[in-house]
Amino acid sequence: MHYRWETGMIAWVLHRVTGLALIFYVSLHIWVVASLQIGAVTFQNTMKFVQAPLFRFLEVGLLFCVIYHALNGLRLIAIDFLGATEKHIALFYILVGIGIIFWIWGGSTMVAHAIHDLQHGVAFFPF
Amino acid sequence: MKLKQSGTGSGGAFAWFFQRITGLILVLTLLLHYLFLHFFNHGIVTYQEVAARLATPFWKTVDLLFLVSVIYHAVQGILMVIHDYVHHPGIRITLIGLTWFLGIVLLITGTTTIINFRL
Repeated sequence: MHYRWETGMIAWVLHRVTGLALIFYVSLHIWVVASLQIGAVTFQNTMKFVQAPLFRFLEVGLLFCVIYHALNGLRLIAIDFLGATEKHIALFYILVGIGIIFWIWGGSTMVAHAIHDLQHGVAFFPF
Repeated sequence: MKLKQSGTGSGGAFAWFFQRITGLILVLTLLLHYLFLHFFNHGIVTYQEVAARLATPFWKTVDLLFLVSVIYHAVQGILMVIHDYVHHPGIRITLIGLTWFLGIVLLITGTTTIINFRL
């Protein structure tokens, strides 16, 4: 059996991989935010931990997954409901362009935060 | 090669359709989430600020919709992957059970976080 590594296939594999990564993140996110229920001190400590520079850098990867999965998801909706099947490849590259702009915009903010914290004595690893 | 499984989307048209509906809801709620939590608000996240936001009916509604949609979308997504790659009946039913268990635990955890705050 052969796999053809063309645009549609790459788009599909990336959708799956980013989807699974996002499930992992969302599970952690719901669990971390649940520390609100314990109280202010626990929540602030948890937030301090997850906002360490290490996680700011990992969030750049998270942002890639979010942007890719959201934009490619919109592309799937356009194909399924708006009859964009014949333009699916062009649509993919247009969305890649838009995605890269958003990724650089958001990612640079995250890296700037991390560098600022590192310069002010925050440890890279929170543990 | 013998192909027994029809593949992705064995949940049928319902699963396929609602994966798109919840996906669209997620794009909209995620936009609100990012705008208010990361764009208008660049500072340090404080308990008071989050508690005050979660106490409002508007954010309770948005966050509950966000939570229910993301859990449905995630559970359905994992089920599609299981249907595609896991063919052994025992492992399959175990993984499907674990997926629903994870989904329900996260739904309870998230819901109690959202509804517990009062003005």
